Amino acid sequence: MSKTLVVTSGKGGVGKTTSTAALGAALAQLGHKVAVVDFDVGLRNLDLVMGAERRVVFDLINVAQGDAKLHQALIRDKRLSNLYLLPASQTRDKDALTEEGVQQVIGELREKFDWIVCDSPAGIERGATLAMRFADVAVVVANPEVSSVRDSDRIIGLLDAKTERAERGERVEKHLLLTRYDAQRAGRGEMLAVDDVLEILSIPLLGIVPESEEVLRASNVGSPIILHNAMSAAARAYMEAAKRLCGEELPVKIPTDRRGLFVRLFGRRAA
Amino acid sequence: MPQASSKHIRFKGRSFPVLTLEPEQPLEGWFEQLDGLLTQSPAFFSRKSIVIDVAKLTLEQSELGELLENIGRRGIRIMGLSGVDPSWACDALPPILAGGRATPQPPSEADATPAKDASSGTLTPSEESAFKDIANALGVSGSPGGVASAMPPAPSAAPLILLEPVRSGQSIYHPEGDVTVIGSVASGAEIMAGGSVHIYGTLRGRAMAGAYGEKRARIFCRRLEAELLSVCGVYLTAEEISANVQSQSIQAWLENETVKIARLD
Repeated sequence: MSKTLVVTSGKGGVGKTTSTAALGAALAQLGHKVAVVDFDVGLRNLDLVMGAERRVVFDLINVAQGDAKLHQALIRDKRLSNLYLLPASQTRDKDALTEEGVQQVIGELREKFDWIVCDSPAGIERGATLAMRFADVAVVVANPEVSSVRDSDRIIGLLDAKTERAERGERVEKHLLLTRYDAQRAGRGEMLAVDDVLEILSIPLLGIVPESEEVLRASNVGSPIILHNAMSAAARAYMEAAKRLCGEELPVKIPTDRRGLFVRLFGRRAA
Repeated sequence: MPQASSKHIRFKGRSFPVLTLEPEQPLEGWFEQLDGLLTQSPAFFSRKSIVIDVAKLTLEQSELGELLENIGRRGIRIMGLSGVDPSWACDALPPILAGGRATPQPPSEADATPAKDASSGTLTPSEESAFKDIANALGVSGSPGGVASAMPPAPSAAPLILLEPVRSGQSIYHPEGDVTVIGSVASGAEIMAGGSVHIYGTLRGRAMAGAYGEKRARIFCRRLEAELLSVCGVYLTAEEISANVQSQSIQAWLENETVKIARLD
């Protein structure tokens, strides 16, 4: 059965696009046929993070408006044969998206793919509401800081009110993905604690992705972190999150400050 | 710097008489009759605030929008909706009203069709007769011309109980009774109740009790981290709430025109 997943957050810069690419690649590695869809019309980025920016011909708007066929716009990943990208248009703006157009594209994708992973733009306007409109599952990406958590709370409210499922009286399955988690800063109490975030948002935790330079490096070379360095802590966190999305029950580990321990053991002498 | 005469802005509830229009199914027929009447007295609804009561209709949310559009196209200004699930409240719809009751009828009018009358001091005799015409032509039997009550809400008003957390950006408005939330109220969310507010979770947003002037209303919460507390229009902002009740389970009430807060345990 095909599932439509929206990666959303409200706030910008929390890691939606990185998470979309990583979760899409992880689900594909687990053997599912996956399409990642960039809804950030006008400010597209997912093609860069996926390393497909030089192969974009047609885009979501072209397909939604009937100017191109879906198979013409889908870009197959060079590393994973069951991972596809439907890029956003850079030259248009979000008003070019219509509910009917999006519904038709999602409908077509549902026939071909196991997972449709939609990368939502920031904000709560048209682009974001259309990205979540037809979702079955939502991954709410948040950083452990107050502004991000409050925006996520707002988004959860919209998921419960503005999605097609909500209007049918059903529920969108919601998961929290905490990203850019800095164990050192958490240890010093400079970030919201995981328990506090969970208490505020009261949705189940899908995973905690540690802040890492490796993620930045992967984005810069146009590779999802899962494929760039599968052994990195972030890649493992995303892989486990993808497994949980597929229904596997794995305990979530809160990243600890391993370097902190090292510094505590040996750093004092140096200092 | 200009000084405000009072330290706080007061906001209070007040009720006004309002004309209520009750569409009936089938809607095509109802609109036909409405159009017929509007050709007879075109100015009847102009510059009046009208509340649409859809309690008798079984409507989807999308159909409701269409209905309101059709009414609006006839020059009827809709100030509110009644008989709608409060959870439908959104920017696209007029404000949802609850707790309206028909104006008591004078004994002389209490005949077989008392509700067809809209006798009220706010209507001129000609309007009254026009309203009777409309009510008769529409063949409404209930209380279409019910002029919403100008009396304070009934003490037995039904409570509103929410089993889910109230999210940032949500606004819960329950003018006639208590509001109970089983869960937390997020920062950026607000609860307005005619009666008391009970929150079995953390209050991070705003809570306003006694929004209609009920001075006995109180706010109770399991953990106080509120942005604003208000009882009967008198409010305290987060900065004014003393530190020794922060993050505590508390109750807040009105005493000598100020909001008092005390710990519950």
